[in-house]
Amino acid sequence: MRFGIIRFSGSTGEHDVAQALLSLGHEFDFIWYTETSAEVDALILPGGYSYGDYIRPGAFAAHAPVMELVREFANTGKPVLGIGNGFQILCEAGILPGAFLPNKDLKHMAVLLPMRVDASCDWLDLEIGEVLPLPVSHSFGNYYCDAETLAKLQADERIVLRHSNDFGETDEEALNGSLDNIAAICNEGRNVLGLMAHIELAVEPINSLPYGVYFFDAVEKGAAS
Amino acid sequence: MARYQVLVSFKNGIFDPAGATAYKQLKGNYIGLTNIATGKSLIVEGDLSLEDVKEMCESVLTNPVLEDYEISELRG
Repeated sequence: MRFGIIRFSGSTGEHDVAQALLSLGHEFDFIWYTETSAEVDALILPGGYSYGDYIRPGAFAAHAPVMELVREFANTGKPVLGIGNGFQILCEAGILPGAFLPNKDLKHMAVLLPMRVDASCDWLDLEIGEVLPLPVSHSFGNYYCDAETLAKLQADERIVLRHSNDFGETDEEALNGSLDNIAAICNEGRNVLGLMAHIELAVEPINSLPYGVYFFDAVEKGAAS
Repeated sequence: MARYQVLVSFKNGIFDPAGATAYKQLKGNYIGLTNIATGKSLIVEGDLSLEDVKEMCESVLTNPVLEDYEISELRG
């Protein structure tokens, strides 16, 4: 099993993902944004920035040639994981629905946030209702979609993580203003997961609680089955 | 050569935090003030038709989930 980490022009988070995979003993290749094929079993779109986040985060990356490969993976049921900017890119490319607005108070947020598990995707099987404190680092984490799309996401149980308090309550609006407290969603095929949490920064106890390990191990299991 | 201005604004109902903050700061000083909204302006130049610019807006320059846009041709 090999992970493919996509490097867009101006990507900044790819080495954090690589470091996480190294420390967990996973094998990976970097995939340059001009490639349209790769010998890997799962794709990761890393977080950070790409193309300077000009115009909108993910706007240019969504039109890079490598997105053909991402679409192929998405359409054939192989695991695709978009972290932070990677989530924004998947939305800009229309592989996941919705889009991102600036955080409601316009501040960059770099904190640990509790997130409640509300659904599983194809390869990720966390306990529903579990609250995971996960690191975020974003200025555009304010998820938005129209009412019809939101109703469909809710009905299909595709909202995988929601921002909550430490007790898993979601009565209060998310700090970034995210619609319905959305922190992670999957596609209709349930093999593409986009999440704002930087799980690659949550694999070594020195950084934070290593909940990110679940996600990377789950991708490996999913790609094998 | 043609010169176009693209005005991009948030769709109705989308919270615009920068506009809301500006409004909050100024409403005490201007009794008639009812709203401030932010957006962005892009200037597109070249041997381009209005259709070309529209295509750019639809594909990359704006996001239809969040934004509306208006193109006007600048003369002179």
